[in-house]
Amino acid sequence: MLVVMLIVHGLLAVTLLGAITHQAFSVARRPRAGAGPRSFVSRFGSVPAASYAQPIVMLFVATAIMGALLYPQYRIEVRTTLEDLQLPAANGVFEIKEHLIAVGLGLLPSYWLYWRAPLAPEHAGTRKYLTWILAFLVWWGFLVGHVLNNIRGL
Amino acid sequence: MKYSSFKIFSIAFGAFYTAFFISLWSPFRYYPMLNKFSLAPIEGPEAGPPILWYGWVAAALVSSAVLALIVPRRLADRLWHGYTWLLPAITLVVILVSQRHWFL
Repeated sequence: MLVVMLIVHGLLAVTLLGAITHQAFSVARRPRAGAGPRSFVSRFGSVPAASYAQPIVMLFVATAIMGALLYPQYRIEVRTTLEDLQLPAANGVFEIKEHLIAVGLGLLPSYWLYWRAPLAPEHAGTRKYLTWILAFLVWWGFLVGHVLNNIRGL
Repeated sequence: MKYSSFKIFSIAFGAFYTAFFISLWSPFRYYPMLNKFSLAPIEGPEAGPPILWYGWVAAALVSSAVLALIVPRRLADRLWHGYTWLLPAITLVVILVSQRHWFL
């Protein structure tokens, strides 16, 4: 059961990572009229960013809930192993991860608010920075989860 | 702006959460070894390590929701929109600095 939960958590995280990265690239780019052949990076950001917002909110919450359900097992097995192996940095990056994900949960209502249709042009900056912060949190959570799972999986 | 109280919630949530975890205050703890929630700390080696994170999140959720409901809408409307990302960004810096001891 634990392995199934961990896989589901990972799959949700991958989906979330893809979605938020597309959106983060999308708000960063400045479309130019009459531009020549577009690069991969440009195409990567050419997504209807607003349509990503609601799935991102749902994926973030779902991934966080799965993570919260797995947390007790992490606390008993993985963290104690990291302490035995004297890897305080590995413990530290996970501690930071749990705090960042909590802050991310709190950001979601504002994030959803500014991505609501119709998009207000005067709030483009707020949308951009909220998206980038959320993208940073998701990338941190994903990378830390991945590395720690390599050190000592559940 | 409709739903402008959401701005208050997001700004307050990070601040409340950070205050709770830095002060190590949590309304309840979860003891995974005992599979038990407790309002008071449980002593003894059989209790194992407590998890405070659930309590911090729950407390921040309730506190910021109450604040978002209390703050009048016209005040929330007048709040600079940039605060919704700037203050949480500052919160993230505070969190990173507070956790530097793991890497020293």
